[in-house]
Amino acid sequence: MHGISRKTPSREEQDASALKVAELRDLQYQFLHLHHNKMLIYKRSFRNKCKAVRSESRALAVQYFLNHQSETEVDSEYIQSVLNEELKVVENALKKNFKSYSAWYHRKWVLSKGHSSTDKELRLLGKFQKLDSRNFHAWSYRRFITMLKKISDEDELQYTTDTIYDNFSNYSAWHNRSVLLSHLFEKRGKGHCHKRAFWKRNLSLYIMLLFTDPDDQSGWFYHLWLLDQTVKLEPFLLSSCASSWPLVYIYQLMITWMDASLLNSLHRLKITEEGKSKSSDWSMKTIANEIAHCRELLSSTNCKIGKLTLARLLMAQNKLISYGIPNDGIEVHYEEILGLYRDLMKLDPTHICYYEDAYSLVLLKQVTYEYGIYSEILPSIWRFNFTKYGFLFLSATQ
Amino acid sequence: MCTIFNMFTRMFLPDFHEFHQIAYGRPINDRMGELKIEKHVKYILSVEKRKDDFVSVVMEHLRLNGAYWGLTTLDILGKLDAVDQDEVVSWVMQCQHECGGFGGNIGHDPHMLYTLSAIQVLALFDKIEVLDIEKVSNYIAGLQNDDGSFSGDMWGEVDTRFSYIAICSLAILHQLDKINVETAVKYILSCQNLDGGFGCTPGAESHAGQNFCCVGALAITGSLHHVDKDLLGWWLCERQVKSGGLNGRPEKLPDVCYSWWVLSCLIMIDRVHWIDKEKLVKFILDCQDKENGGISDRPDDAVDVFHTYFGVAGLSLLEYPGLKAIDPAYALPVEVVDRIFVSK
Repeated sequence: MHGISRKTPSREEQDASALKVAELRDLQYQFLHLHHNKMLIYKRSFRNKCKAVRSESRALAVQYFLNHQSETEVDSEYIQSVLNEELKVVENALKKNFKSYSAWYHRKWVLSKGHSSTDKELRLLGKFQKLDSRNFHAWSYRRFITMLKKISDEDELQYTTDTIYDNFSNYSAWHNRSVLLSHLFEKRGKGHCHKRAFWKRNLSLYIMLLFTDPDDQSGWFYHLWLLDQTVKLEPFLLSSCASSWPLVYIYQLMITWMDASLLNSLHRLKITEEGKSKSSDWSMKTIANEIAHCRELLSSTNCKIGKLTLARLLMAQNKLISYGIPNDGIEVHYEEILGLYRDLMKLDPTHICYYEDAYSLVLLKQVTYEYGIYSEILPSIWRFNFTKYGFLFLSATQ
Repeated sequence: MCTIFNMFTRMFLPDFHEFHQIAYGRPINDRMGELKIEKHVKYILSVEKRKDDFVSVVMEHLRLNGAYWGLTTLDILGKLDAVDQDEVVSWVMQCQHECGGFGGNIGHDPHMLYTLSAIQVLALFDKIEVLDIEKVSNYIAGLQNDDGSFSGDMWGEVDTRFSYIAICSLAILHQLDKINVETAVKYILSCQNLDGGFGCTPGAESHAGQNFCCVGALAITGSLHHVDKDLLGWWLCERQVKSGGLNGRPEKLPDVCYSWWVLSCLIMIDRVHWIDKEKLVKFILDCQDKENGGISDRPDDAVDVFHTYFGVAGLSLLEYPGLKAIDPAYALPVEVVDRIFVSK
């Protein structure tokens, strides 16, 4: 049981517990009796006694008893006073157990009746999030309040920035950041120059975490997503096409290896020359910068995430080179990538099989590259249904 | 990523064998310690009888969940016949309301959370026929919202836990056609995050428990192709920390219950080899109370039936010898699932 030590309670603790049990049981029975008979609880003295029960008990009837009351009672003044009390009761219940799904939901329910100010809720939320900045219930409640209060995504993004600067090790803040960024870019459309500057700032934020504590996972997945988005911003050689017939199959650059959803959408892509050189230059430069950061990190720390990220970035760079994008003489790096995975197997033996699988994929790509088999891209003049070929490749590697 | 290519790489890299010794060399229970089966059975039977201590009173409202955890553990350990089946079935049915839903105990309000446990407990005893299937199914189907999500009860809380509960319950009852499966799947996918995992509502952070619910629901509805297995697999395998235990989110402490939530997901997406199974077995066994029985969230914490179930179920998924196999999506012994789907 969370937070309770495995020791036999003392005699005093047992006696105190027995008294508490008797009181709790008695109140709970009274509560349920009133609830089943849909009797309204007018007496303040009884409601006060019930507060103790409701702080301890997680029974739904106990949490939600007021819901029935408010749906039946016609005296709006009475309901308002009870709802105000209710907010206090829920606040106390959350202080005892801030991971209670039903308590958090009940607060939303009370708020939906319009009996508290959202400013007050934000202040309360601020206190809870200071006590536990990883509480996902609180973050969910925050999304609920910011929606009610119509707080902009930009302001909330700033909140996540402030939270991260407070403590880099906050996966919840990094996650919320990614959700907000996704919303913002959907709203703003395809302004690539604007996005590029923004991605650069966000990559820099992650670099600070990486150099502070490379073993902290908080930013790893955010960084992976950011790099993926960086390349997806630039669907080089592609434009979306309404046609449902596949013309050419392109393996879009991915830092992760296989993306089932990507393959499902490939039939909507076709090659064009539009924006080719601008997009590809930016992608190549971004990847090169990230590679430089990784090498700098690894020069001072022999860390797992540094090696893994470098391996992924080098794979991404190899892909760009294989597409014929100008690379200032940089050559493909399969040997170095294979070496990184061998290092990772020794550095992190717990996940040896993960690295083995990645290693075998890299080896396959090296072999096919050396034999000149471009399984990922064919010239645009070829009108060929690559979907089947691509899935063959996919099924062979899964 | 396929292990066929492990063979391919061995041809080129003989020193791979050294690494394989580390991963596969030792037998699974060599120096592992032992699962104290008899102690755990005794512990669960004692919890069943206990009703008057503080914890039992506070948890009274979810006794039906407790029954599912305890009874499934007994079944995995091969000791389900230690309980009075008729008494349990009779009590379960007294928890049902007119609307068809089940409360967590007699007199407690109905909710999806307890309705699934009721169905699962009846399935363990092969007594699903005592149910008015139409009534229960209508209660569950009636809680689906227009956007495909499910509420937990009449008060409207939405969470992907309830999507799993609805889909799992109705699949067991062969009544999936009562809901809109397409919108249910669509809603689950709207809760998918950048890390490949799932949260409780759209935009919510990935959590191992929610991942189990969403991946389980997608597995049951034949929709696993929507999952990025490599991405999610990496997130899941990184839940294993140095002690060998699994946590539920990055930078959190390990907890035995994630031996179920994380492990079952890894199995469903065919990536379980990405964790060190031996280390996880050792972590679970270290969380046993070897004197009094039961398993706790982490070593030396107080035991409870919730963590006892997840520890034993996790060991079953890890193929610990002497345990019945458990289905990772339905969270019931495989022979029970076979009885539901194969013999019908």
